[in-house]
Amino acid sequence: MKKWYYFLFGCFLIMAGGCIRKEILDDINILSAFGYDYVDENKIRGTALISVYETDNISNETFVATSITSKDILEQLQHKSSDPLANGSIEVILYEDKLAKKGIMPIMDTLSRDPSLGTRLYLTVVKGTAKEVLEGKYANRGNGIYLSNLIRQNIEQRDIPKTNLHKFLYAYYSDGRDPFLPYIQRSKDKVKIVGIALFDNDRMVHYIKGDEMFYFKILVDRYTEGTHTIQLENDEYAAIKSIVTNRTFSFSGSKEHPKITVKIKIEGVLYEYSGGHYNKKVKRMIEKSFEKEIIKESGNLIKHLQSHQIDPIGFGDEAKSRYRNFSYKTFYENYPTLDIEVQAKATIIDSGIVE
Amino acid sequence: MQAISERFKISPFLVFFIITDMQIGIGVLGYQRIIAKSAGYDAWISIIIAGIVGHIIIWMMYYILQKTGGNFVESNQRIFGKFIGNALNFILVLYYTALTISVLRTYIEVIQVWMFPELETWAFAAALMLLTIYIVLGGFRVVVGVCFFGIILPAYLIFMFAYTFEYANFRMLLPIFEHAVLDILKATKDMTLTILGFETLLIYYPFIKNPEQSKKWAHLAMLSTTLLYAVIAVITFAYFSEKQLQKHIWPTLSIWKTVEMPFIERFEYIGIANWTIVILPDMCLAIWCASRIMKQITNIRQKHSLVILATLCTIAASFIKTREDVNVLNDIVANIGFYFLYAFVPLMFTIIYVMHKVRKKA
Repeated sequence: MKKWYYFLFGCFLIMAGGCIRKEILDDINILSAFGYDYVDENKIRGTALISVYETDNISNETFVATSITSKDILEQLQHKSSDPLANGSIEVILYEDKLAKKGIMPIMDTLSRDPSLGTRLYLTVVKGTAKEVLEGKYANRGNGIYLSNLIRQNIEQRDIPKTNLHKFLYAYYSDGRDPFLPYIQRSKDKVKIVGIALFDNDRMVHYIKGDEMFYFKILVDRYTEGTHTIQLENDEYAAIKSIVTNRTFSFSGSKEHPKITVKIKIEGVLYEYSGGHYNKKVKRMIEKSFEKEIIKESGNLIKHLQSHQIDPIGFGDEAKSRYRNFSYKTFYENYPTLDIEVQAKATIIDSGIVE
Repeated sequence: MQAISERFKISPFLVFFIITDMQIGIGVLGYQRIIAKSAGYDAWISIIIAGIVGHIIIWMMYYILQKTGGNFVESNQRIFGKFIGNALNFILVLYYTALTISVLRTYIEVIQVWMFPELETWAFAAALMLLTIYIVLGGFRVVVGVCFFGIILPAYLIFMFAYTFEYANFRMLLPIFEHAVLDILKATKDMTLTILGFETLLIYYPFIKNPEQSKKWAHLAMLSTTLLYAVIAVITFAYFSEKQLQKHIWPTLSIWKTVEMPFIERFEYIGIANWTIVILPDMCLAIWCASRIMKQITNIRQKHSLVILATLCTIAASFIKTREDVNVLNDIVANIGFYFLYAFVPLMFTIIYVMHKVRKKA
């Protein structure tokens, strides 16, 4: 009797195992990046980047198809590929800025629906076409990995705020916050980050240029690293790498028309000082000018955001958590005229290995 | 009533593992969305209320069992008469069978959506049910052993939630009590399917050695699952924005998508595969309960009714095709469970309490 059970169970295991389609690594084309370009009102062009693994390097292959929906593009790309396309390891997705200005949610839908995609994949907006970026040859690790490393290291150590698919969707679905994405451009055999694209819902409306990115990052992210060079009063320059930043919001007044104070605290290390002699007085001066600059630049940035009616910093969410029966609608009606004040406190904790 | 031989009985502390494992079944993969639907981000309060109510029900169940000598099926017959009592018992059989089907089908759905869309429902259902039969045939002690490992082995999964802290925004839980009391209570009702499972105690009670001592373990089990649910809910609410959460059918699995380890790119696949160990004891215990009641109300041998019920489960699971059907099934099970736990058990309690008081006076 017992033996019979074992036999039957074994049979079922074998049968159940045979029911599933296999995906053997050598027999599939692994997508590592995907780009979308604007063609006309109704059509988009998709570019799929496939990493071809050779003995000592990874070469790139691109497939291009034009269609109405993004799943259909994948369908058409499938027609051109000899092996099935697997999208499980896409690292980066690129959108042409023209397309981003039209709204990217219709083509994003498939990304949030697909269980095989990770939530840590990067989304970016491209100045120029995505096809042109993907067709370049940048490093022998493959373009997909090149692009994702480019973004990752800029998030971890430079001035792009934390961003990925999850962050984008979080902000998109949130009532009190607007999404943003890195803005990149191809320049010959390199890709460079030109700024941060700001979105109103899913439409790109504006972007922040390179030198403002640092201020944007300290406003958006809670704890972050970044470097910045400031001009001092005595026409010298100082480069500061921030180690710890913290920003706190405080609200006062009515919930329809609150007065918001943003306090930014930065602790940093002096990287470079062109003035030569460095002492306590200089240190205090650098800190002072840094604070002044933060207040000025961040203030301008916020005013700018207010005038565009976008809120990537998430003032709406912050306000909601502080007031009962909060209405996002009235808050954003008043948003452009809100009084938002920035206060800054900078401390230089180290000046490198020399004094 | 024939007494259960000492060698078939289990130690009282094992009740802890049976109850926690029965509760943490399929519900924990997606309850956050359901409770947030009505109570928003105040829904964690609902979990705590549901937990408190659960404690009261456990207390009532122990009262019922102690006063009636521990056999729930027979006390049903005694109190409501042979006919109605057995009808009630038969409803219980159907309920435990439905519970098995709902766990089985929901889990297969998860596999189909997340991993293998081509997976044939019947094939996987049959394989799992065969395994279940095999375990249940080993007797109650083996089922409890599986429950024990069903908690111990996947316990490491709790650490995976730490990966969300990077994205967590706990501010969004404020202000507390933004929702009406009724909304919060509605979410408490929605917690039923997730918190369900401890009512199996009524059936396996005679199998516990020194049942008095198991009481504290039952309450401890309730307390720990409530805390676990509350913590996971708070983490989920911090990780998703409110409308984003409503988009995710299985928020717990979506959270695991964010886990990143050098040797594994997509953690949710490990999590889903591991989940078999969590749901297997659920099915075993539920179908054990069903076949046990069958044994007591009819003279079919437990072995036979077990095979019949398992076949029924496999067939029923294969007939459920779409997401909506799975939802309907889960709603039905949750509703029966709700009335069983929060209406029938208190009713029994009142009857027995009154009977006891009257008898004392006489």
